[in-house]
Amino acid sequence: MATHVKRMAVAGLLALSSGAFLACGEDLTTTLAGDLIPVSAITVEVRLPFSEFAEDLQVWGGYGRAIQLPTGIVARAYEGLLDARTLVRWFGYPRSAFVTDPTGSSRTDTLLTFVGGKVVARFDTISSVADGPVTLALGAIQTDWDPGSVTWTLTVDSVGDRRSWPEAGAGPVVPLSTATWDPAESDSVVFQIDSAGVAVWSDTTAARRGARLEAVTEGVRLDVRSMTLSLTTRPSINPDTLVDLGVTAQARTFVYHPAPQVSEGSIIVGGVPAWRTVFSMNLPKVLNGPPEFCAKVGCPHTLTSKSLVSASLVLWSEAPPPAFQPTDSLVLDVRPVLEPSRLPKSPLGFSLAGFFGVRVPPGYFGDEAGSEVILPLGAYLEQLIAGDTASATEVPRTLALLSSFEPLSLYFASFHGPGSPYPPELRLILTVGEEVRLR
Amino acid sequence: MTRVLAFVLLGLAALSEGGEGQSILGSRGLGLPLEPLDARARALGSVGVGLMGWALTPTDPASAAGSPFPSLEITVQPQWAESTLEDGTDRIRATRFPLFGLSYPVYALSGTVTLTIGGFMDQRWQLQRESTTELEETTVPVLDEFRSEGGVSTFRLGWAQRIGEDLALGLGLGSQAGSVTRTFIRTLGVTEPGVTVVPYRVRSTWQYSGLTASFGARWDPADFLRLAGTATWSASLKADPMEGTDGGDADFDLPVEFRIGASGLLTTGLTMNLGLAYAGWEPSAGGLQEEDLAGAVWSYGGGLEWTGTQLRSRRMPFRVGVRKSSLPFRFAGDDPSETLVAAGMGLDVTRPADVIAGGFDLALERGRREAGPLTETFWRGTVTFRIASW
Repeated sequence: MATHVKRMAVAGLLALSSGAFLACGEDLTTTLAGDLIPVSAITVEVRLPFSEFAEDLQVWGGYGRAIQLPTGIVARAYEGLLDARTLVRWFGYPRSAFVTDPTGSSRTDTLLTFVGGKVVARFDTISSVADGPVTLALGAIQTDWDPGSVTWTLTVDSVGDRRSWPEAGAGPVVPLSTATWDPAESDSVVFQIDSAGVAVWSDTTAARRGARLEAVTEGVRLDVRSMTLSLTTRPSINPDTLVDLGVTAQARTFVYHPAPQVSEGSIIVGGVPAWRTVFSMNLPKVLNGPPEFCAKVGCPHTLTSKSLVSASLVLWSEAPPPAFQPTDSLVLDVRPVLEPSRLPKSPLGFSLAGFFGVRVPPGYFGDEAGSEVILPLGAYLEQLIAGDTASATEVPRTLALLSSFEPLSLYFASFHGPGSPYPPELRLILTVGEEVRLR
Repeated sequence: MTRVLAFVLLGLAALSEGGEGQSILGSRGLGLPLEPLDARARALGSVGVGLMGWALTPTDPASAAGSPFPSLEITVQPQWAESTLEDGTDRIRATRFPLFGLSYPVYALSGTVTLTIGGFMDQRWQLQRESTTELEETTVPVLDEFRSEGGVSTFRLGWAQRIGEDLALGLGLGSQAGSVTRTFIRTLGVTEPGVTVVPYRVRSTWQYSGLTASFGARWDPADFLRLAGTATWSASLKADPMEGTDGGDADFDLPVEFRIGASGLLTTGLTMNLGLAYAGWEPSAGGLQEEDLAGAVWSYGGGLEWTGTQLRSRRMPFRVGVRKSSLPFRFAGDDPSETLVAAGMGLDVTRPADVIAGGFDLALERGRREAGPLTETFWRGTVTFRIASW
């Protein structure tokens, strides 16, 4: 019995202890009126013009290549300016095919006769700009070219090797076919190619040179999602039958003309090859204005990471040349430049704008030019200010504005630069409070 | 019996989980006094001295004299409170552990050594204030929060000595210890796309230290009467800022506290207890100022205990009590006071033949605190569990 009672008491103690620990949840918050909180604080906003927080703004270009974009571009006098042509390289024609002979048996045929073919181009109907049916032309390129560095005027543009097209714009070409695409009817156009046209790409060198797709209709810009080549074959083991064989595209890119002219001193981000805008932070340690700020918190006011609750870089959008105005949202990023002396090839630090970056609607660079775009810099500035007081911490002072995905598109973002009437601003929200005391 | 005990304990645990309590008064001075009393003393409205039988109470160092067995005691105290200030009402809750104690009788010396950890000042509270501020041309909602987390406890080693059959003396030596972290947080309700705002936060932490000593005497002039008294002296309570704390240190002068109490057997099984406590709080240069203090703090109370009820041969006392106290730290320039009525019960699991003892006590108090524009009503439960054996 004694053991029973003792067990009961111990069990009770454990149960009570458990209950006591469970009871630790508290709700002590009081929101009653009255000035019960023993600390007062002031929150103010300050906007610093570019010259007061940064310097040495530079625009660097050449990041990424057109071949990295998921779409090609075809344009002709788009906005009276832009010409673009999509180039595609093919792998060699198939040497054999698995076909059914007259007896019904499947056999490999190595004596193929190509009697014709077709190239199918598929477009992005949403992002493409065309008022009506568009006439397009397909031609066979006659010159070797490098998909990674090809431009409107150069077949190869790499260090120590620059070669020009015989004719600017990836020419000359052997005309193969023309076709008309009506955006209202479908998302693709088919170019029929006769046997003579198919013969143009019959050897692997010619196939590698590939095809050029251009617009005949003026004032259009089309985004090419894919180009495929299909050959019509007459097999030797069953000449009464025609077989379609696909030819894989080896590479697809585009060339355009002219290169966009951007405003001197503007902040440019994006495009292909992409631009980045780089500047160095020169944040003041002490604020002596503006007067409204000083009236509230007193000046000079020493900036501290503790009082900084928000920091944003404010940019004002401007319209780029019409041919390069965005037709879809752009995603901007801000990243620290880790070795500014190695620009434009300096490595960059982690994103300051978050994993998804800052999305900017395309209208900001068209009808809504002059809109405010805000990039968060709070965590970075907190480190920068703390780094000033703790010299052991090295915080990069140079920042790069760039596209989150680079390259993203032919179009690009443009913002008013430091010398413009709408220079970039650093928007700070500061809370200045009393110290927490015991008495 | 096992079922009854299990149901009661589970019920108490459930009550504790949803409990609310404590006081806005804790935001003043050194906080809200947290007396190291067990559930029996609470139910009787006692100031913690002069109770019949033996007890493990830091407020009465002689009370452990005559303790027959080594024992362990834990007290849990959930609280629910409703505060009213300037037409606003708020509900708050909290749970405290005001007393943990161990005693060990030294039979050769007719004395008992005790170790107690008791509450002294509770400094856990939290306030919120909602307002707005103008940023550029936009009105932005602002939420200010002030959090105080921590408190001061007393660790005390004591000795209770029986002198003859009727007299016992007790001595306790110990130290105050604890810490408090005070945090102010301002959160802005900026909803502008692309603008990230982090809360403004300032935080400071202090660590408390101080010495204390208490002396108590208990005298039973007759079989039906017990008289007792204690005096507790404390050195100044020192608050040292921890690294990274902006605020400076502080020294708080603590008063000598006197408690007297008496218990008398009115009839078989019915006992009355009465008690009185006094502490004269004085301002100190490095601590609390005169305007912070109520000065003389009196507390008095009493109650009745009925021990004539048994549950399957186990003693099951019932208790009622009342108590009125003044509190040491002013609120809005007014001296606060606390009035409460209490009731409780106990269950002693005792088998004298096998010399195993254990039990629990429960008290439930309904109280009211007033200080100028502030009125608080509260329910406070106290549960003490003890186990003793050899």
